[in-house]
Amino acid sequence: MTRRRIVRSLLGAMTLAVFLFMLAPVLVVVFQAFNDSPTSTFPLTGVTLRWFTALPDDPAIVGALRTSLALAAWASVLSTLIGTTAAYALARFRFRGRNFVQLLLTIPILVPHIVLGVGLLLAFRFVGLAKSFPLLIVGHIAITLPFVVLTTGHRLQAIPLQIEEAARTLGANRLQTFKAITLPLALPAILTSLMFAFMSSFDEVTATLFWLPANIETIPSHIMAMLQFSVDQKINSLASALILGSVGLAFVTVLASRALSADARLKRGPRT
Amino acid sequence: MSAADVVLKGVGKRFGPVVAVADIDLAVGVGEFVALLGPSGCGKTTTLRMIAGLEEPSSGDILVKGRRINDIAVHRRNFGMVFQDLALFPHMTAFDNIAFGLKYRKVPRHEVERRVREALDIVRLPHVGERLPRQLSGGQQQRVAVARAIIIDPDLLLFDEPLSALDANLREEMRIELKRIHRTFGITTVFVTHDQAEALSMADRVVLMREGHVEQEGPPDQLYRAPKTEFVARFFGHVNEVSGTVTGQQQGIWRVALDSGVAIAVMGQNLSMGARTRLLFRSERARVERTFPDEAMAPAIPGTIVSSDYMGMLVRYVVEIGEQQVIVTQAVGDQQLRAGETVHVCIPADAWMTFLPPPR
Repeated sequence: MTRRRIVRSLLGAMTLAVFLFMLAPVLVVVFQAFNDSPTSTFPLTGVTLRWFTALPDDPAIVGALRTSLALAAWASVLSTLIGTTAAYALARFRFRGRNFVQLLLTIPILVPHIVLGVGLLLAFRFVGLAKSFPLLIVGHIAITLPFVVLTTGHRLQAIPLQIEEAARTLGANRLQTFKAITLPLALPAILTSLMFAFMSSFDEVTATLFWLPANIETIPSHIMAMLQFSVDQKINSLASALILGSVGLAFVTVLASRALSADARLKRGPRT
Repeated sequence: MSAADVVLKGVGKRFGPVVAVADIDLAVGVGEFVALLGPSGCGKTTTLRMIAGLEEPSSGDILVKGRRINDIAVHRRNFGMVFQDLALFPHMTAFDNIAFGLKYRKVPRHEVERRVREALDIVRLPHVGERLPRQLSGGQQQRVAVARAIIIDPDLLLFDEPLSALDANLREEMRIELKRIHRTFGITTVFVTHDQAEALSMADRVVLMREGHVEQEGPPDQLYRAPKTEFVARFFGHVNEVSGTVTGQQQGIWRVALDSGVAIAVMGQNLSMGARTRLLFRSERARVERTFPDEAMAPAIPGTIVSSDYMGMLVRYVVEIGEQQVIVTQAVGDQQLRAGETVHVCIPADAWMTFLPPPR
């Protein structure tokens, strides 16, 4: 009994240590963002929100944020569209080279981003394309596609074929079956993919640095540029805002997935 | 049988090198209830799926009401199908599940409402319209699946082992229920099952399949009483086997000397004088008696009871006769016999089944 208790407390301590290791640096940043002092101090010299309110006054940050949001939105939406279509084909049709296509679509997850970055850049050069925002989107689609194909594909495979066949015997053609049966059942996974894709595009810096056209900055690349000069409150507050944003997005996605799954339909009560 | 509703002409299906169905000919009459019966892998489900349009035949033609439907897409066939795992749409209420087929038939809203209620009544399942499939019991899900298939007023009803997921009592109940629905609406029905009791009790005609072809088809009692092959004989109930040598014949009745030395009378085909032969009989066609019965009724084989299992209405005896053991099931009667007792096994002459060895 005592031995078991010791094991349990050790396990608890270990868990706590891991959490601290992962979250403490984040907490320090958030903590300092509210510090009244223009440099990081401990303890705080006072509590203020002025670093946050000052963020929108910096046109470079606002511009970078716009770029990042637009990039992530385009990349994640297109990637989800392409990835979901591909995942459907992979899950539902038997065709030659199916395994190869599957491998091709998921391999970017295993390739270091620096390799992707250089590779795509050289490929663009080779065909004579100059760096541009659309090409940046193309690159980000390549990076985010595996998340979509894996997440959505996994869900699609879990939907029994018989359910779709039943819909077809009842008079729905393939497209109607997809709309009425497959899509609603896969929607939570598709939303999760979209969120994944958005976050990983928003966050991506390694490959992005190779693809960025002149005069365009994303948030991560801008932060890297800022870091070359100093770690100041602007960075702390910007980082804190980003953390808040990502946690919020993840939270919203989970809620939305829940609301879309079958459980939620029940709680809404009878229809007639 | 009236005019044929569904006709399969030389229909076959290959999956790569594997032949799932080989040249099947089958005709289902209007309003007929036909069961495709067979062990797993005999091609019965593939045949059903070809009728439904979910598989494309590799060869042959499928005709419904005289029209070739090979190239008609699944969703245009208007066949109601009940799947093995029922395949209810998990994200829709029972109501929406049942109404699904009407959505693609441009049925007006108030009409949908009315017809779903009607379908729920038919399957005797009111008051569950707003529940999701997984909030329903197995039997209720079953009824929703049936309602969903019949609401579209199908030209043909297809069942793919729909009762296999239910427990024994429920299965019995659903059998009666499905039979009732079939009688009420007279929809031509093809029912796939591996359960002989299901096929025998429900179908007007049973098609017993084996390794992609039809082994024998006919009314249930014909398959049971007059099996054409040993496979058919052995498919229903328990079949015992003894062997002996044919020693004589008199007015169509053969005398066979069993290996244990006992002579018995056999009414059967495929026998010839002096030949070694294998004789089959069903466990329920024999009787175990303590006293030696009237010789005129049936010659009796002496034996010893090895085990005696009480099964409620019936008793199952394992009896040793000579070197062999046979199983006999019979009503309990006055008294259950015990293991170790010496008894006589009486088998009527017409209970014996004789088959030529399979040509191989």
